[in-house]
Amino acid sequence: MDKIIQQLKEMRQIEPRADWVTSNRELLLSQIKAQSTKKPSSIFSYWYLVKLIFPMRFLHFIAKPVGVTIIAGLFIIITGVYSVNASKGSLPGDILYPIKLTSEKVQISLTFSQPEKTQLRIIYAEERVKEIEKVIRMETDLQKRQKKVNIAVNNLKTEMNNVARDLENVKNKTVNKKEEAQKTIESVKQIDAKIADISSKLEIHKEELNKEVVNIDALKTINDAVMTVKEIGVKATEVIVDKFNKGEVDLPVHEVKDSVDKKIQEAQLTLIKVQEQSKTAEAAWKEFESQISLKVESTPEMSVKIEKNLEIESSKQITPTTVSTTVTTALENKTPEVLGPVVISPANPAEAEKLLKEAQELANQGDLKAAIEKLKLINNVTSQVKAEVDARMIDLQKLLSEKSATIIVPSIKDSNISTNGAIIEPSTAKPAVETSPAAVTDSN
Amino acid sequence: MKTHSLKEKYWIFKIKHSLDPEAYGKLYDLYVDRIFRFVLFKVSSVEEAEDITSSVFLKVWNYIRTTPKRIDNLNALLYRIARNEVIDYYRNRKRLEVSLNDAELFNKIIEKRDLNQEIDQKIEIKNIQNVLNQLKDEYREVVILRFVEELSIKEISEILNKSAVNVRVLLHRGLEKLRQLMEEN
Repeated sequence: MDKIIQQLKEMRQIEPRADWVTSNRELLLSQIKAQSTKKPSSIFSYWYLVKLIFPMRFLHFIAKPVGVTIIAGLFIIITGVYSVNASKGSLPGDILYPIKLTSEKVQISLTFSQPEKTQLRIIYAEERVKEIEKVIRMETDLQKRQKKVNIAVNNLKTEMNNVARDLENVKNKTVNKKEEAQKTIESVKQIDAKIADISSKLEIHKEELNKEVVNIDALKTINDAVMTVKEIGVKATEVIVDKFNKGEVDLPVHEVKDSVDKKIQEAQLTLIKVQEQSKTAEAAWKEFESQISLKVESTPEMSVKIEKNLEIESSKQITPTTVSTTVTTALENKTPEVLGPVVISPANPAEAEKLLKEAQELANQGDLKAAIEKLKLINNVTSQVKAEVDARMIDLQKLLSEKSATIIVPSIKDSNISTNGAIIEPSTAKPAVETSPAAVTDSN
Repeated sequence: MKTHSLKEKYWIFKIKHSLDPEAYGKLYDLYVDRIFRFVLFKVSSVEEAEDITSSVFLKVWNYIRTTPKRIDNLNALLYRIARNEVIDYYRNRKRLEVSLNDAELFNKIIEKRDLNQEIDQKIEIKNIQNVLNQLKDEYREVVILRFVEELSIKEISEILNKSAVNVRVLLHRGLEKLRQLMEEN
């Protein structure tokens, strides 16, 4: 058998004649050339080439899915990039705003050096301030404006807290090389300067926003933000002082002292401003009070209104006289911290002033660290006072806005009375007024 | 012999895509010997084989140019068309009892070769060819494609449009028959 196969294989040697092959070839090609016209090439013919090279199954199960996935991936990336870019100008409340925030977070997580991260955070904090400005300018609906500003301020606070943490880390980390420490100090100074800028802008906007009736939470948020920003300013100085004390950095003494002095001066200014505001608040309350007492005396009007109330409220019997007495009683029983003119317990500003003096002395003596501690205390006190003043002003504004619509009447229902925070319900003709529990039982 | 190196595929593409005669020329160079041999064993006349081979290549060119299908196996295509051409050729003329014209064949094929070397070969080739001619067409085809052209079973099955099993069976029986015939001679 093998022999046969062998012989068969030998038959391979048979070949056509060489000259025939050549002549035939020429003939063939000339025939072909005569026929052919060049077809215009198109994409599909290249696809034919691809199909030719790869077997069908590969194309079907591997190449096509891979191709589709790649295109889908590219699409997602491109839309991602496009929407990130588009989101750069968005404001709180916009649909794209979350994308903006996310891209900022990604940016931060992608930066590896700590000082750069802090820088970025400050830049984003400034961005929040800009957003607040824009929102104030552009949004006319007060409710919406409030919400949007809230969002921006909340984000600002978060960023500020992060910056504070960063500063704390910088303080705690001892830097051995002088140049590095120098660089750190420089960046801290920059941070300080930017913080001051942010703080002043925020103050301006806060005043603007306060002009309309706002809800307490929003105001509180902004106050918190302002306070945090100021704290960070103090913290930055603290870091500088700390590093200076540890001898990690060479700074002229007077430079460090100057920055501490500056902070003390700022605290002083803030305190003065707060005192002024409290005076204004006092005056406004006094005026309001006087207007209330006028109203209480006009009984006939009141009786009409009370009868109307009776139609709604069927439970209790009241006589005009009862009402007037209760109102007067309520006013007389006013607890100083609840109803009535804003009285900052005299201790507070005096205490703050005392602290300021102490801080200045310490700074002059050269004990900068203790001065900084005092500054922190001062800030705390000042902001507490400020918060109270602001809250009272809000109450007042609310009451003023409802003055024309209603008369202050002690509510018959217990549920409308609350002993904390003024809550005025504008919907009915029976707004609740802060009363002491004694007054409530009287009216019942 | 494998089907389709990447180069070949590229040539095929070029032909179809831009109708490049040169590309076809290259394919011709690759395959002409085999097709000629294949046809020769079927028709036993050199001139006829040459004519048929030319027409085969022309037909293949037209086929490539015009078919929308993708060409998986040019090899198979060529053999298939060659086979069909031979069949047509026989249809068009009365089939003659051809016993191999030894002298003519040998002269033409091995004119360049060393005679000493060839003598044994001559005899053996002569033997084998005689015997082959006695073999049934079916068997002969398969045997030639397998051992002379050295195609795989799969390729042969594509060319002949038969199943692989069928091809194996034919091959086996063909070889058996051939052996018998050899012993008889």
